Amino acid sequence: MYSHIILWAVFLGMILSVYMLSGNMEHPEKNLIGTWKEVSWHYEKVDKMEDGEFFKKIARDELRDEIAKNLVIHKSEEWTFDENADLLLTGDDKEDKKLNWRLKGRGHILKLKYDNDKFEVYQIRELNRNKLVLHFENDIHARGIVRIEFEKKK
Amino acid sequence: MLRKYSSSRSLGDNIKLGAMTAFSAGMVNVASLILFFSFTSNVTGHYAILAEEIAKGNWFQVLVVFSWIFCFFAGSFFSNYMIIHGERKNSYITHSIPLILEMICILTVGFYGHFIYSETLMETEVMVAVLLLAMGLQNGLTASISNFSVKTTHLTGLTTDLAAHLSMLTKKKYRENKQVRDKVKLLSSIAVAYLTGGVIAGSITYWFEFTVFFVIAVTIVVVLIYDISKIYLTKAIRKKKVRISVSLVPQSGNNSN
Repeated sequence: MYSHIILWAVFLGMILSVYMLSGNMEHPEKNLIGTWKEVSWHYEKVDKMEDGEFFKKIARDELRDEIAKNLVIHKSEEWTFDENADLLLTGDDKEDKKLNWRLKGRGHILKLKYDNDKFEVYQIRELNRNKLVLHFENDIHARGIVRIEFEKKK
Repeated sequence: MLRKYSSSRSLGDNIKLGAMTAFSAGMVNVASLILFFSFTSNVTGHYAILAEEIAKGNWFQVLVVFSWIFCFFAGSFFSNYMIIHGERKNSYITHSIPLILEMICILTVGFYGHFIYSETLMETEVMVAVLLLAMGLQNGLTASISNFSVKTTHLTGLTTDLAAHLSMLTKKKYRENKQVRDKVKLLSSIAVAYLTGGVIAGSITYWFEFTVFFVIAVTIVVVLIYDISKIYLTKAIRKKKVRISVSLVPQSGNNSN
């Protein structure tokens, strides 16, 4: 009888601990809310890597444009995430775009919805109060992964 | 499928139980991957992710993934707890409880996802946890009542066992061994059923979205009612046979009158 009580107490204790700990931790949604400025784009060519470097910084605007031309984030420079799940993309020479954002999985997937039923998915590689790093797969020229780095605007 | 326990189970019982539950597990896993971007029937990957998140120091993610693994553990624990403490005389009821709970979990995700879900991270994490609990309940049940020969969500172990048993078939001594051949049949039927469930879920989830979980619940209902229908069918056939045999017996009482 005692073993049953101890067992259920352990289960209950685990659940309570998880609940209490979750309240004291940095939540990815809270970290994401705010305005993020694009700092750099990096391109990893899986099929052929130059100079043994893992990620190549994309210096030429044309290549960046070509990679992003079919994406909703094309030519955006500032991303503003708000609490109502709205994302405002702003750029110098483009109209502002309003999207819907949601985090999925364990907070490692950023899903951007637009035009009612279309969506794009980005993998969050790093997210803290000051830095955001997104990855997405791309098959322009050759198969590869693109990494976008952001820093939070104060 | 559910009534019999351990060594009293036939190969047919295990294949039926394994195939049906693996089919639903395959569906759950693929549906959750599409809807939540997270696996819910394979825990091996979650252990790897847990280790990665610990190494990175992402403590929120560590807590989330740990909770998911714990939910699967709790489901499996509860299933076996029910079976070993449950009444032997009424094994059908005892063995049905984990499946009924699994169905409740899956229906909850279906209803919540379809009518309430606003796609917050908290909701996503809780629903993934509920599905992992459901898969733990199912895997714990099938493993316990089949003396650990049927594991419907554990494809790493299944693939290893299938490969080992198939390699055994290259030797005549093992080919003639019925146990080895039966094991190959059981494991391959589970693998095929899991894959079929996954393919179907992958094809319909984009249209059905959260209502796909109602389809999955139906497959569990089939497992639950199979034994009941068999009992009633057997009883009905037996009654009919008795009636026929009674009508065929010469009625000596009339002759004596």
